[in-house]
Order: sequence, then C-alpha cells, then structure tokens
Amino acid sequence: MKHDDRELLETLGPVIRDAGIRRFEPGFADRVIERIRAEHAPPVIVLSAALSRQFLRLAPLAAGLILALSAYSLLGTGMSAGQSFMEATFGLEPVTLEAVYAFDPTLDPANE
Amino acid sequence: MNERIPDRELLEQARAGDHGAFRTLVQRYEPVVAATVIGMLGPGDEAEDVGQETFIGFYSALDRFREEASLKTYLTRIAINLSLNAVKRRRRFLARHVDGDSIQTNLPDPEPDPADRADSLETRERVRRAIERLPSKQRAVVTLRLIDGYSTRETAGVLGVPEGTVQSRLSRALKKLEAYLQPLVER
Repeated sequence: MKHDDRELLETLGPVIRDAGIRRFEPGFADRVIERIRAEHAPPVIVLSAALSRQFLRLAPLAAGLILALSAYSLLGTGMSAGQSFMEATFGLEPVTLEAVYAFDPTLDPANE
Repeated sequence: MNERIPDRELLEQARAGDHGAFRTLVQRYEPVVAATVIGMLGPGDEAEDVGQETFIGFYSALDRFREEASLKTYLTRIAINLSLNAVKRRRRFLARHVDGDSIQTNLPDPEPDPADRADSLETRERVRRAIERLPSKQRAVVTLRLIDGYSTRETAGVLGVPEGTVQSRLSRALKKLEAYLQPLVER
C-alpha cells in the first residue's frame, strides 16, 4: 500500500468505522425466527385438496367398475321388449303405468 | 450467559431444530451482518430484508455449513453477496424509473456546514451517503475493510478476488471518500 493510501486510511478509517451501524431495529432476531418458522413450517393439508387427490386416485377405478358391471348386465340379461338402454345397463325393470299401479304382493299382510 | 455457549454447540442444537439456539446465533452475529448490510445499503427496510435473508439462507444451509470456515466470515460472505444483488436490483429500478439528473440532485452537498462536525448523527449520515456514492465493488471493499474490520486477505477471501484487487479498489475508494468527506477530517 502506497504512503498516500496509508495516510488516507489512517485519517478516514476511524471516521468510517465509527459511522458503521451495527444493529438492526430492535427485535431483529425474533423477526428472523418468525420468518423461519413460517417458511419451514410443514405444509398444511387442506381438506378439499386431500379430497381432490383421493378422487383423482379413485375415479378411474370407479369408472372401470361401472363399465364392467354395465357390460355384465347387458351381456347377462340382454335387453327385453320396452326396456331402454339405460334400464338394461343398470338391470332395472321397465317402468310402465301398469307396473306403477300394480299391487305388490309382498306388502299384503296375509302373505306374512 | 449465551456468550458461554460455543458456536459449535449452538449449531448442533440448531441443526436438531432448536429455534432458541438459532436465535442466539442470530443475536450473536447480528452486529456483523448489520454492519455489512447497512454499510452496503444504508439503514432501512431493504437492509432489514437482506439481513433477514442472510440468516434465513444460513438456516437453510445449516447442514451444508462446514466449520472449517469461521461463522463470521461465512455470514459476511452471504450478506455481501445478497447486498450486491440488492444494489444491482436498486440500480436497475433507478435506471428504469428515475432519470440520472434526479439521482444526482438527491445526493448531499459535498461541502458540509461546519456545524455538522459537532453532530455525530449528521457525520454518520454524511459518511453513509459518501459510501453510497461509491461503485458497488468499491463500496463492498470499504464496508469489509473499514467497517467490518477485515484484513486485506480476509476481504479478498470473502469477495473471491485477489488481494491486489482489494488494495486497488480501496485506494480508489479512499480518494473519492477523501473528496466527499474532506471537511469532516482533520489531516
């Protein structure tokens, strides 16, 4: 270091050193810890997000099951006269006016 | 009381998730980080943010911190790098939103009122503004060498530059500071 620089360092050094600020606002450490807690906290599992994840996992399985059962119904019993495709798929009896008003013998107390 | 617990022990506790131990480390090294960050950026919200980010970065790297390096030097290195990034961001912001003339007019008059000598707060502010006028690389050297008190070799290590570069940057910075601060120093 040149003589001039050394002289300058001796003159300016103390002035600059004394001007240094060595503290943040009070409570700095608490603010740091608060941010660390916030940034490193374990992720909160939101119910809707968990349900959504479970749905995505189960939906293909459920769809496959529905298709298999529908195919079984269609192939096993076939479509009878007056039965719609949906009724045949789900194995439902055809709904007719006559069937609606027909007396269900299982409800007759005499049959008990 | 905390001063008696060695850093190594506090580091082990912090690694095990003890926030109290890490808080003690923050309190212990706050002066080092504050001197570096405020020396580079001046006091204010930006310095506070960079100070916090320094410790948060350190917390994230706790497992990677090798104790061959001193903690003080390690934290100073993080602080100076984050400060230099903040200076760049600030410069980009000013270049985009403020024209050069208005930057100049915001700077203090280099000829201070003689009454300033008696006022240490005024002196501190004037020194801070003088340092702020330096290019960021020279400012980093002045902060590390003169405010943090690192040697030329340590400063070179923190900045990752040769010692000769530190000396030449310091020399240029001192000449500028002499001009800015002439009335404050008696030679």
